[in-house]
Amino acid sequence: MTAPIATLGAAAHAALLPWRLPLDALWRRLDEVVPRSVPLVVVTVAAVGCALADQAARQALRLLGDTSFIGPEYIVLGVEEFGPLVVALTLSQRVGAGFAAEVATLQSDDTLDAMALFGERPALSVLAPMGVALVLGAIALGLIGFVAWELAGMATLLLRSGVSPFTFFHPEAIRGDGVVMLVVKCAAAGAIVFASATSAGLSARGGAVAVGRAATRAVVGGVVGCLLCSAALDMVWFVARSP
Amino acid sequence: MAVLAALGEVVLQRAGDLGALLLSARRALAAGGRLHIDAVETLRQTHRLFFDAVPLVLVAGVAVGGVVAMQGLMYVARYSASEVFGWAAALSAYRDVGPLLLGCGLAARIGARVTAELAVMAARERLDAVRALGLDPEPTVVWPRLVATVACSTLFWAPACTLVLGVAFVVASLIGDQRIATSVWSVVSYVDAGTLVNGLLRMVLFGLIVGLSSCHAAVSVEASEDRSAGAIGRAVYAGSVLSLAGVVVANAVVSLLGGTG
Repeated sequence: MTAPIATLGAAAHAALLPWRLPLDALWRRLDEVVPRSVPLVVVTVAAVGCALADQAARQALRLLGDTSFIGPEYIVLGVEEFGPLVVALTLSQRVGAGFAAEVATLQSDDTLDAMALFGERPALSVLAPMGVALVLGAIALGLIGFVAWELAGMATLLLRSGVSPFTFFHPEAIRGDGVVMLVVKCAAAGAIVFASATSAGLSARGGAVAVGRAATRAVVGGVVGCLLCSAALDMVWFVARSP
Repeated sequence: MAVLAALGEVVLQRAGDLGALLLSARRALAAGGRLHIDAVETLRQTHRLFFDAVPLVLVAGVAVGGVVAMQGLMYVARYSASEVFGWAAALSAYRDVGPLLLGCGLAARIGARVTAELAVMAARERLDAVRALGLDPEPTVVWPRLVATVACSTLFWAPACTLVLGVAFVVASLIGDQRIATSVWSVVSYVDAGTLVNGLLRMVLFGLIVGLSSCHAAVSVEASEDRSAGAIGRAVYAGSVLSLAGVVVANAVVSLLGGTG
């Protein structure tokens, strides 16, 4: 059996030097992470955006009789908070479970050992492309998710409260450090999902039961890790921004 | 083109899944109405899944509390609105963000576990063995797990959301100088029963969606010819994705249909 910690370490090391990775494997993983996740990311981010925009508008109308301040706040929330968080949860459930099941299957039927025996380095050719694709893909999906978030908010406010999209859209509310926050959160989420999926997959022992358990562990680890990371980054950001 | 093709594939898949889910839901409701579900097995599964998910709910509750606190503190700092922080945090914790993120957490823990267990049983022909004993696997094996998922989701709502709110208050007091007494006063003064009922109903609905998605993804292993380890992994993956999409879409629908309470 391939040693999980040593293999994970070797994969993480290889992922830090992406130009040394096999290009076809990297493209294949990027294709798995980004285009195939776009529909789910768009649906989940837009659904959460619809819900929050509608509730915010109704509460604002009920308490203040004014919805003009929602647009700037909503766009900031999408960039700094809910956009990256929902993308992270989606990646954990979609890509994390899939990668963990694949690695667990390779581990439990000794394919990784066989690859090593034939002189291939599975950490470099199989695992590291997953890590690089997850980090880069998470950032790309974060940006796509943000567009879906804003469009969902515009459509909801227009259809439910009659607010014009031109009134609602306030790109000037986004600060440079907010965009940095989005990129940092998404990259961290990609790394967490990768670590969770790979460690769960490499720890798999046995057959079908182990694969099911690895996929479950990967999803749980990814979801909890992403939630904790988001909260921790928010706190650091808040303290750093405070005067 | 690849994105459009993927989108079309997902729409077709989800439409098929939705149809199968609705059929499963109809059969489960009919079985529940006739009390045709193994009660002892349902209690056993509820106990097992509940205590199995406690660590995750505790950790997720702390993390979601941190998210809720930071979200509220930004507005408190910007609008000097410390009086309404408690109300806004309670609204997030009990009705909007809390149930949504906890629903995603439960989909990961309970949903993935139920899918993996049932998929392994389907792949190893244990469901066939149950049939060979003259029993129907749905009321004896599948539906008890579905009911247990709904029960766990419902039972977790009050303690988990209260934990989220408590953590939010503590974090806000430590990082943002928001007094806990002011936050509690804000909750007592402004939060109404409708908010709590709305949140509880959401968690019940999320539990139902997670349970149905998990059972459906697992039982479909029985229908396919591939019963390898990879098929189990794919079932867990399909159940997770279906649960997540179902929870967020249901949350949006409930929010759009529901009132401000």
